[in-house]
Amino acid sequence: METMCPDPSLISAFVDDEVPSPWKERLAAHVAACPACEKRVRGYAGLRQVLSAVPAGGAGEDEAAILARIENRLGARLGQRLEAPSSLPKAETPVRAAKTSPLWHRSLRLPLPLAAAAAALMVFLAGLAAAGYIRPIRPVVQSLAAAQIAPTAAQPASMEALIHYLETQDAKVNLTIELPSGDTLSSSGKPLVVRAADANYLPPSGLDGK
Amino acid sequence: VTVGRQLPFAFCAFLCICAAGLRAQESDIPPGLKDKALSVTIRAIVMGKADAVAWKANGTKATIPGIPVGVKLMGSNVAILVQLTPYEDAKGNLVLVTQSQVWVKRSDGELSYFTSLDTVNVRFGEVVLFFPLGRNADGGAAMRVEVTVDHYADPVLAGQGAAGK
Repeated sequence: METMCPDPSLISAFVDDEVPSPWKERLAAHVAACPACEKRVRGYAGLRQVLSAVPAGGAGEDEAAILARIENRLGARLGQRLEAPSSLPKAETPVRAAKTSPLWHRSLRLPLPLAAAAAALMVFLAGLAAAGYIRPIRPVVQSLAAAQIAPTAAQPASMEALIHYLETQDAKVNLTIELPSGDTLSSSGKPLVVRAADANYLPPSGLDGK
Repeated sequence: VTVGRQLPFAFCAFLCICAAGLRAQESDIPPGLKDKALSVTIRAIVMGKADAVAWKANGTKATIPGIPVGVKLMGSNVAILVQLTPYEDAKGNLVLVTQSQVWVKRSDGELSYFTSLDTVNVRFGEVVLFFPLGRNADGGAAMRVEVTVDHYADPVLAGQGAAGK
């Protein structure tokens, strides 16, 4: 029957000989039969050996100095050179660890005020998005279609026929403006729509604006 | 009854008929929608030499969002039909949809036909420029149509407001 692997903290206690009988014997039997747990036990045992080899400090030694000595010992064991001196305070330890670990294994530690500010900013932006203030950027003018179509024989070929054709269309005309007669206007291209603010618009000169 | 006594009444009746005719367009808008009505102002400008205005004409039509205002500009060699449809969403944002047909008879007698469809996000009172004949490389144009969409002001209500002040 396959048994479930024990919790790593229980294995750590087992390595430290802190598990009483009969659980100690059962764990020993499982470790002997389970390669994964056996490997974990060996890892914990090696770490225990390293830590036990750290020389004891004086009575007044602070936590930073103890951690620095442990780090030194671990670094020597792994054959790695630490860039910074081992007397650095505890706060810099994760940075050095990040330099030696892959990017996707790195953890980011932020000061609590910075993390709170980031969380508040995310909540604020989410609120803006939910309220509809944040929208995808879209162009002010969207030209959906603009084309020149060459008339064929079936289409009107004279202005008179064209006027008749327009009059027969169903499009409602509310306003008809007669352009000045006699003036011949030439086309410079396709019809174009722009906002006056975007077209360097200047009020026409020479005539009253009204 | 003399003719002289009838003249003032006839003149008043004539004025009333003229006033009713002037307000015929606004009466097309259902009374319940007049507060949603928009006025579309069209200003056609033909440019002359040195970018000076050679000719212009104005016109204003009232409509409601979603109902197009059709404008026809007829010249000796051009025929332009523009449908201007303003839309206003629940937040008051305004979108103007312009659909145009432009017919131009060139000097060689051939007809050119252009069509376009554009949407423009605009503010109330903002000027939108429509160049039915396109623009030159230097930005100039033989003709332009300035379009402005604004809230419709009922002349009767506006008159009452002015009288109350």
